Amino acid sequence: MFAVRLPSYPRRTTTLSIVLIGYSFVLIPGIMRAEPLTITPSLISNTQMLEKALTAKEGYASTTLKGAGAFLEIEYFSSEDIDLFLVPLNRDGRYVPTDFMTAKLPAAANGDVRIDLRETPGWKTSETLWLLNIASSSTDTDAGFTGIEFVPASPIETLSAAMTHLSIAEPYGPSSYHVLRGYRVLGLSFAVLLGLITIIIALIVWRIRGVSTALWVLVTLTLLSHLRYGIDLLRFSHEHLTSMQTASIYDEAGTIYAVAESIKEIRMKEQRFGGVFVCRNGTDFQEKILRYQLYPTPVSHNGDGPFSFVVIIGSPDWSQDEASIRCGDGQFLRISSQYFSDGISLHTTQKS
Amino acid sequence: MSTTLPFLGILAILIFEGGLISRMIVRSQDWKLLLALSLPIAAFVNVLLVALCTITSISLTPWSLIGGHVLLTAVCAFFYRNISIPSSAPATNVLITKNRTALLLSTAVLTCIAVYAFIHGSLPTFQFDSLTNWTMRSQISFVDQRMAFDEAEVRGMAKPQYPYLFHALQITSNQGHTWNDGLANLILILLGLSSITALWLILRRLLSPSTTLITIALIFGTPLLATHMAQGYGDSVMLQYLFLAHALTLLWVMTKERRWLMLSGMCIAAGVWSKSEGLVFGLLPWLVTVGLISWNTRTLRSLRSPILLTLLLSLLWTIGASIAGLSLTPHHGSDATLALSIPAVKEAFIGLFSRGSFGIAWYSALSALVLFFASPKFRSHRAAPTLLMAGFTFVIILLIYTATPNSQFLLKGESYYRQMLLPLGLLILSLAVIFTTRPDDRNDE
Repeated sequence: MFAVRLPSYPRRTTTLSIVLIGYSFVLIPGIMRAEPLTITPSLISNTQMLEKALTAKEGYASTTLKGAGAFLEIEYFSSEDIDLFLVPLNRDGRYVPTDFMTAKLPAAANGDVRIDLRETPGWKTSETLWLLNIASSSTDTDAGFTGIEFVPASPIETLSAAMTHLSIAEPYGPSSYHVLRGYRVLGLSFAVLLGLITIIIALIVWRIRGVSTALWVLVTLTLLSHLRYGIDLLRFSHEHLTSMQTASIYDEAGTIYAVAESIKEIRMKEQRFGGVFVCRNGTDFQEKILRYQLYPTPVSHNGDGPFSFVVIIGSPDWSQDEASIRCGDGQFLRISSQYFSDGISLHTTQKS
Repeated sequence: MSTTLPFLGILAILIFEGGLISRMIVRSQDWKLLLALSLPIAAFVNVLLVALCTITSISLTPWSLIGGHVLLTAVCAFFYRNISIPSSAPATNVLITKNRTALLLSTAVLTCIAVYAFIHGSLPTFQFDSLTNWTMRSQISFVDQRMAFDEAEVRGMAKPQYPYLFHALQITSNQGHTWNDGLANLILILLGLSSITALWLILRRLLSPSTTLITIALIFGTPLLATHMAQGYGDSVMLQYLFLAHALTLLWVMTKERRWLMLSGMCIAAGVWSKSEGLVFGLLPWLVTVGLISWNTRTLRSLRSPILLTLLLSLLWTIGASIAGLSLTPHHGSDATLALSIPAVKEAFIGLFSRGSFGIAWYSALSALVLFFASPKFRSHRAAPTLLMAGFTFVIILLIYTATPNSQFLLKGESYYRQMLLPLGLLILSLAVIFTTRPDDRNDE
């Protein structure tokens, strides 16, 4: 069972509201402790990863914490590792999905950790409401929190956070073609910060040195801002080229291009010309890639066959045994299967 | 090898044809400019050929497409007369000359974009809309051997109202073998490269090399546009044509040579054939701007032929689409009604100034505009009226995305951002000429 307590001596904790989902939280007083273990959480780059991570866990609870600080100190006890998912909330209660961080609390009888909140670009020095999701591998865990508090940031820690935020890559994916979210520093838009600074400098320079120098300021700072994104373009290029060449993985598309190649090979070798049934959950992005790659072979997540292939992409509603495979209401006779590194599986089938 | 040779052969035919037509319009011996213009012009001729095949129900095969281009090239060569007009000398009397920091930054920005474009162009088709209404539609049409106009996304596309310059180029460049995804993306990268090179050579007739480089880096380095330089949608192709058209309009304004306006009009028409928005954001502001400039200088009558040719080439699509019962707006007729959205007004400005699509480009461009208005010297510049084009485009886009049901595409973070790249680029082009050339520049022939 999870338990969270309100510390009796909060240094910065101002509010602790708890939402219970399937668990009850018990609040008990804390004790003096040694120097806590510092944990640097990692950013979750897309919401699919978060969904996957949360659905993979058996036990789950959620709470909100309000406070100001660079670190979150947690005293806890647990016989198994606990996964934390944290995100700062906006004033309207919403959050930026790419602000989510995850950290693992190791199993401990009397654990004491310090989580660095500055890793997320949504972190700011002022008071913030945080959403805290807690997940464990079993539903019947004995884990509990005995103390939670925010530790304020020093000026140097704040400055270092600003530099870290500037180095975080702009999230890039299939939907980036419509709009880019933009860089944020200490929870503020980098475009607004740099834009206002640019205008102020250009205005001063214009009054002192004239139009040409003011234009130079505008041009140079704009190009610097462009170059910041240009560096990310190089980063994406390296990342995508390397992962495609070494693991046939392309960003959010995962191994779907390798799946398409396998289907093409099997079709040629075994002369199997039926369609492809896609058993999926959520986004149809990978199904669209399959449909494009295999055109004019029909690719569908519903409809009638005949289907020569079944591709399972992250669907919770499927099962298999030695001879058959089932997805939703569809039942297929399984001939052979291939499993890919990102969890996608390809099955050569006959409709039963 | 089985795909490379046909591709190179088709590319050579398109370049020769485009170069010849450019030569006939521009009547210049500047072979670098003609070469750079050849692919953008050939892509436009190609869509007209595909449209002709579509109307006459001729299958899109190597015979009809390559044969059509060869025939057209032969006809052009027959009527070709070796008449040259001496080229205006590139400008040297610039106000701002070298700025090493900006030059270094510009080079770095353009290098990043080039690496990104070529690497991502060589990777498989990845983006949502490329997998439906852009490259997917090209592939469906290629397999069908006729333009696909599917209304339901059963086979993969559902936007029959999209003009098809983008698709036509991918279809033609894939002739002679089965569909090749890499070549479909490569031809668009080559089109982008040609357009930017042509833009460079046109601007070089007005600006110093350093100012030209900085101007191009400022426009194409804008984060969202840079992202679109690899596997972009029809929007990026439309933007390339409309930027070319604007640079040519500036050249016409500065030199008063009608040939540049003729070419500018062709680029406007090509923009219309690239994306429906080209009609409202390209043709309409262009007509108003050219009309106002000519009205002032009482030269409107002498510009009848470029304006009429532009109208004819642009309206071919519009009339054809209307007859076929296709919507003239990207999201069917409903987006042509009035419906003011207050949240959209707020979001429109947040989008320009707070998100990442434009970096700080709008802050700088509008600040530079303030500097322009503050200085009588610049206000009286010969190129100043071309700012109207950027202004009209900006206002039209803002109205469409805040006062019609299109506001949903702003609130959902979709097409508004891509469209706003247009007035930004136009503004930068005009301001670059205004600020860096002498107001009294005269280079008439």
